[in-house]
Amino acid sequence: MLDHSRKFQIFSDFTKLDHLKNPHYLSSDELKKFASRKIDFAVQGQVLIDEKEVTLCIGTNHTFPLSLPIVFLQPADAFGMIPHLEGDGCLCYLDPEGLLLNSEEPVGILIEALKRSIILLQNGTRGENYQDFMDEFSFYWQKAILEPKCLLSFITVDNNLRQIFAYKKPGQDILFAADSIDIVNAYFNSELNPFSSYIRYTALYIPLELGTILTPPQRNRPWSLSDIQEILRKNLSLKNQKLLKKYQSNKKKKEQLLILGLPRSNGGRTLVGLVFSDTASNELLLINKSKSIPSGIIVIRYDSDYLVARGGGDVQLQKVHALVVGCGSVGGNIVMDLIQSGITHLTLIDPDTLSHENTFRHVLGHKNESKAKVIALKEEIESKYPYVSINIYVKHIENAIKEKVIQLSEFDCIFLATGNHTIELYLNRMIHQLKKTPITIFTWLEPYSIGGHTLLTHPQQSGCLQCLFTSDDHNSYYNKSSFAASGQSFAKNDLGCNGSYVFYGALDARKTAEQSVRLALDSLRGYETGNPILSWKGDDNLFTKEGFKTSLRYQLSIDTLQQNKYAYINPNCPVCGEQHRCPQ
Amino acid sequence: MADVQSQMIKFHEAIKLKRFDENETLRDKREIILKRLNSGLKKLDLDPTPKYEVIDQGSYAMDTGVKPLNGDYDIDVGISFKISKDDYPDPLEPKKWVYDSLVGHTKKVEIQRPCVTVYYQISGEPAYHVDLAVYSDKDNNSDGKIYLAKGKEHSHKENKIWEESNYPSLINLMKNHFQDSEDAKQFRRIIRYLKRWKDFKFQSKGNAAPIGIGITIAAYKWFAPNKVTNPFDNTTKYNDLEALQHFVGAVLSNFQMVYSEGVWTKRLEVLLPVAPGNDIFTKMTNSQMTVFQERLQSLFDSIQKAQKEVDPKEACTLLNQQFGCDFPIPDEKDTAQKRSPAIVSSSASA
Repeated sequence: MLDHSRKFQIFSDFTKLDHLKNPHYLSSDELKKFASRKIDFAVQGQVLIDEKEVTLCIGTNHTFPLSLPIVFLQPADAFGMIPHLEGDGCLCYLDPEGLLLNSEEPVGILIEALKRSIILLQNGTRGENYQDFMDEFSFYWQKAILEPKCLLSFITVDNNLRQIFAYKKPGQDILFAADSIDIVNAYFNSELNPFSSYIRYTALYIPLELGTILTPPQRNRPWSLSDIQEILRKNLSLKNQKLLKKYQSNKKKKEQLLILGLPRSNGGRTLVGLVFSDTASNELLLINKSKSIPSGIIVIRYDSDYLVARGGGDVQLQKVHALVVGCGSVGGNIVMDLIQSGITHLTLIDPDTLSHENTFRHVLGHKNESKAKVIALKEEIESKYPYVSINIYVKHIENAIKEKVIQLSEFDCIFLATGNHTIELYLNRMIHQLKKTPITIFTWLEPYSIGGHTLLTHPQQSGCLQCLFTSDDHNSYYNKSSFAASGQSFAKNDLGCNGSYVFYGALDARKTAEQSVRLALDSLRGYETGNPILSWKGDDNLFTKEGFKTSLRYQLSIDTLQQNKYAYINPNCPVCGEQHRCPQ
Repeated sequence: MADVQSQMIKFHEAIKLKRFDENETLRDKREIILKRLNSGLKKLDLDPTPKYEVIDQGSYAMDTGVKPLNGDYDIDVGISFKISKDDYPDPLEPKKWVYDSLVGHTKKVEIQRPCVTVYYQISGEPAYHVDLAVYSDKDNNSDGKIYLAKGKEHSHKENKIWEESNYPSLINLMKNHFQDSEDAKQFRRIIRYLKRWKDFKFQSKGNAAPIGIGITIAAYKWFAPNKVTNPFDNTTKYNDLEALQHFVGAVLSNFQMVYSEGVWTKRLEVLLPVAPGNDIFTKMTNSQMTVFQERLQSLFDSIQKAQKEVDPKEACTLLNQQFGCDFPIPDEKDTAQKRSPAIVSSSASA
């Protein structure tokens, strides 16, 4: 942070460069005008914007040069309403997010801030950046509303004008809007309806046509009914104009809610709400010069498309139904990663319960001790994430198939994380015999952090789990991908035969799960069309210290492992080899 | 194509002559002779008693020995006296020291041209013999070279010579030929295969058979490892039959037309890579050389046929005809669908 004399020196150097005409340092009295912006030093002067001379004031607060200078247009309405200009004249010339300031060059920062402000004003006066109004509409909307009220929206945001529902408690403001109450229950993963006492009435969702550009309302210039009539007349698609007529009624309602869907340049829509009093919906289509002013409402989106996309998930993946077999350390992490990636429809199968020994390696910790893993996972997910659909079976997979409680062909994607290759090879064969088969991910860990593997297999294509165990000379039976040399046993029998387990850490499980989910997503999105095996390689210090030997494959570099990710495929594989495939 | 690598390895195990440190009987015999030499030299009352160094040489030292078919094992030992050849113009003198020290040790001890040989018999049959080559040590010669004492007792004077010889360094040359130890193992297997073939196909005495060291040096020059590395699991699979086919092919292609014994004929010349640098096969007559080439060609053809065979039993029968009865022919049980191990440990968990 800079002291006053240093700041004066910086501003003095800046003004000497003549970017501002007639520079004038603001007195402490003059600075009071910007009290809400906490400016402690400022200079103002004149600049030319398209041949019009205006005053710009550039100031800093105490965090400068670790933060951007603040630039004001004086007077604020010198150019009327233009994008990125706030009511007090403050110019949003840069989004502070994602910037790096060279604090060694404070004068340079001032110059750059002024230059960008001038460009912003030029674009505004020429009308070149009016699209920005649409991209930041919610910001202007909130600023324009005198008494801000919010409602939660669960409606599907698309291009179809339609009737929706508004819900509220008797005597209170509208709380939320939705296409049906089922969506709201789905958000809360609730099978009961906790909103049965709410009053429901009809409302309209009106999406404006793509490319619509509107000047936002201002506090002193709110939208009137006639403004809205004009907006609708000019910015509805033909189809939606027809639909609006279909829904119009001449019955006056005490409260008439409209949710406008305003298109943004990057796709997507901003929702804003309007509530009319004593208005009939057919009035929206008239031209009656009515000066009645509806109240603006801030709409907060809770629809799943929006939430998944905002979380970095893929909206398209919400249609995917995934089966996760084995919900231990790796499987538990896979389940959580899938949900966060937008795959919210899951079926989980695992016969085991959470034991206290699992505490530090299972994603659920110890709070669900003695509970079946799949039950505990379902509860955890439903308490954390909206819009999920989780089916569970406390069973061995082979029994679930035998009893026909699941059909493998019903899934889009299967994860096998049982750590039991005997069962997984059996399932691999079964999956490759299906007519319509899902993509399948086999994944497992190796002991003492030496690595983890993920094998993807597409139906009716060469490359499957069996290839790893098939040798041409029939003399050996081992996993060719293994980083541990074959013929060693890793069961640590310090808990007796029934309690044998192998050492690995939670980090290994997470890394392996992440590798598996990424590969599945790549396949579901069509980026990976082959059947690779991905292997991450860890340090072998602990492994060799315990007296174990690594395989020759472990000696390969990470690059070589990656390059040879398809080299395991055996054309003579008894499961996926060409002569063994079932006819299509 | 049948995979006969496991039969090749079994064959190698059957014919491989273990090195001294692994073969107690031969090691003991060698020690007894060396003890006898030591005490015998002292008894000769030479002044001073000559000092010497014992050098391992021959196929034992190079780890390329094969079990002899006639049961007559041979042991090669170098006795390098700390003497200058200039002080002993007659190379027979130090050879006689050795002979005199050992004579009477067994029924038969002979001075041969390149060495002194001690023969052992069991039940009247030759059991093994020890060849002791006599050298003048390099540190005692003004030119720093090693010399071999050559000549028999009644040889012409011109045949009694000190011949420059660097056999001892041949051992190192062979040992360090391949950096990869598995490549080196295949190298030695190929030498042994061909040496056994030679013993089996040339059972007569004399120079009719190509000598073993000639095969070893030929392999040193013309053998190349034959293997395939799997890029996925980084395992390496050696193919000895293919390596042998390439090697035999290379030997055949090195038969050159030369003018010898007054005629133009095809001969194989293999020069020793160390002093004296002579052609190892020089003692073979033209007609012996022709037989050698014909039999090599027959071996080459059999290998090629075996490679094309689908049935390993048929392939091995062809090879058995070339290498003799130690080459295993799998029976029906072996060639039937092999069974993989049914219960193995796994390093996977989740």
